[in-house]
Amino acid sequence: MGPEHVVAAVMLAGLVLYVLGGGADFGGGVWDLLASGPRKKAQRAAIERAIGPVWEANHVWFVFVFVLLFAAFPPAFARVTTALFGPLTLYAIGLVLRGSAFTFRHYEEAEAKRRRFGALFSAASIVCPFLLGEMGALLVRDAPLAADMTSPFAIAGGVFALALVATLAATYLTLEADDEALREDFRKRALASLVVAGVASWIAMLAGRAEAKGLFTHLAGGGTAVVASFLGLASLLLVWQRKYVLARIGVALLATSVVVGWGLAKGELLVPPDMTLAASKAHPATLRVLLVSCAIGTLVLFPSLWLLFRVFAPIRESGRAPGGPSVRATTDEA
Amino acid sequence: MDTTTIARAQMGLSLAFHIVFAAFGVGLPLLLVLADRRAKVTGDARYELLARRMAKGTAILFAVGAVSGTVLSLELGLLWPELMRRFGEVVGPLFALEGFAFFTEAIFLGVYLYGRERVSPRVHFFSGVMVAISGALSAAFVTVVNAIMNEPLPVLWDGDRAYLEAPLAALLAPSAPTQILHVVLSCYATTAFAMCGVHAVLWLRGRERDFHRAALSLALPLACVAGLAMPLSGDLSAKHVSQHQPWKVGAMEAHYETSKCSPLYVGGIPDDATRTVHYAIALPCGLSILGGGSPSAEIVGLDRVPRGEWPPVARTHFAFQVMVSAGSVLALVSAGTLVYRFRRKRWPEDARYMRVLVLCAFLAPLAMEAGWLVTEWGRQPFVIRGLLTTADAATHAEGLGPRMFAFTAIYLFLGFTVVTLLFGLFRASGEAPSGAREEEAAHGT
Repeated sequence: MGPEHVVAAVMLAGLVLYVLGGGADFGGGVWDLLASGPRKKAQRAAIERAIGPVWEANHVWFVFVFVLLFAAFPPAFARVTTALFGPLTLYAIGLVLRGSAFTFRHYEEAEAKRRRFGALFSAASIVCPFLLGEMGALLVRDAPLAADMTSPFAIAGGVFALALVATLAATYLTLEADDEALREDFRKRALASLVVAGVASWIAMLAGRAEAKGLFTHLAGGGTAVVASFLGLASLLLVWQRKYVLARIGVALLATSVVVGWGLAKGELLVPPDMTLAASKAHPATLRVLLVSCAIGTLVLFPSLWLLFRVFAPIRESGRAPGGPSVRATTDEA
Repeated sequence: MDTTTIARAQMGLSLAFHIVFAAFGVGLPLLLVLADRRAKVTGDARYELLARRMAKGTAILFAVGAVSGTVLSLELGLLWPELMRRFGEVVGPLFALEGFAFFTEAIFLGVYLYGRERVSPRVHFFSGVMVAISGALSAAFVTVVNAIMNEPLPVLWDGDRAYLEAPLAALLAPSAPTQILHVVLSCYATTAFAMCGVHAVLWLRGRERDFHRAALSLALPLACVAGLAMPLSGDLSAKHVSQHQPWKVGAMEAHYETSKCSPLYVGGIPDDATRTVHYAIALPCGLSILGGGSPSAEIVGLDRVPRGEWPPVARTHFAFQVMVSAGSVLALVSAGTLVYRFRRKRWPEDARYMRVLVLCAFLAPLAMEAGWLVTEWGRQPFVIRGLLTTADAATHAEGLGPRMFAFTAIYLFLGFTVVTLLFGLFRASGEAPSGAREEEAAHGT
């Protein structure tokens, strides 16, 4: 195992954290769009409160992985950005519109405009994880990497990713909600999205038999399917039983297993059909510097992230989430 | 238009847009920290109110800066695949360091903006300091990348891929120190002058003058110090460029012929064909004095640069003139303000002065954009000077044109919305009789 494998592992870890954090923020956008029922406004307020302080930090994991890709594997980076030019451009547009519309809505006072920014925010929050799932699928197909966005396997991958981030968000939000009814709303949403994710994963596996043979004959691919199915069912049961703290761990493990399994199944093959880690790696000195920077950066990063998430963890003991009164005041209007 | 031109236009548009927000991302945290500090030291409630109001604007500007910066990292690969393939290893570690700085900035900004009511004042203040430091660091790392593009270090080659024997030596790029100083100062100058401009407008409206006086007394020192330091750091940069980047000094000064006692052209229209500058005021030996330190210093001109490697002279010279003119006005205003401050023991406060500040609020970002154009145009036709041409680095992707329109439309929309929202905040700040509104808003977040 060489330094390129360590860098690849660090990238994969970054991707896991991006999905767990940034993915959940996208999922929040999905539930913002699908907010409904008597507590429509309270749902949106809870989502906004949960995402507000953390989305910019979560979003940086994407930049982190992307930068490591081009620093450590420059030819692979060039191949990926050339082959996936269309979806990556759309992804960039989606990221811009999502983040800015979210912030604009927060500071806009006119209701009509708030609604328009909200629509933009949630639409972009749906497009982004879908594209991410599609690109993830395209990266493990047998065919040479190309922006084949209408392939059944890619579409199934996109839907699965969308359902997965929606699951993460809904499950996290059960812990953020400050009243029982709101918590039930998110519980139902978590159950529904888990079922959709399960169905999408089966469709993806069926489509994958034709398009990504390597993936499912691979031990890691097959193993991932088993582990993820187990974790999916366990999460479903935990959400059903209202064991929210455990359920949150369950869905986080589920997402982790999917991303790690995806990475293990890719193995040495960074860009299909033939660009391996070894063939595209940077020089050992560069890889070492990257790893040392990551190690030192992590020393600053993780305590800082810990502070951020501790400060904005839901305050449950006091029975009142931050800004609680103003949120309650907005319920039961729609 | 060929794809290279469209790729350059799209990259240029994205950068021109991002730079303004990035500058605020560097400058505003410093001003916020200064406001918090002064609130604590003086116990004056106006400064805390100021920090609260500024925090909202910062949140908006930072969000747009963060997402437009992410687009740039994507565009590096999308528009310049060959640049990244061949030089990814050289600039990659710098972007990784920048990534960590940006990460730290985003994390602590979250704590700072949303945590005022949730963390102790000490942690809150610490978060603000961390944002200010990591913002400046992240600007510095990105500037080093630019410094390498302008004046590459000696690289080793593996086929057509460049790498460095000691990758961190990239931090020692020859033009990095002068460029970093110039860039970071320009961020402070732009932000502080913009803030002065906003409060000058509100002061002119005549409401809450006491509050705006406090705001100005906070922003003016930074604006004036940065405004005076800019020409000095620019001079250091010019000296470095004169010695080491003849193509750039040739283009920005329209300096065609290598000579001792080289003249300095103010204004004028360069003519590449005749190698002369029309309608310019020529200051005898001016360039030799500025670039070489003595009237007899020899300044290498474009005649020593192969014709095919000349940057676009007219544009670069024009952008340079704009930067220097705007910067000079800012420096004069800064000097005048400081003299007034030390003589009268208070900051100037009359309608005419406020109008000057409003003008400065436009001149500062103008100077920054023009300076950025000088550095980019002055490197052409290369993306990595001498090693990789811009055309060779560019993508061959189809359909760039429509995308260009899409990005233009998005940036227009974002720019327009940010301006509208900020005006909304400013108006609200003029209407609020006390801190009540902010208190309410702070608890709502």
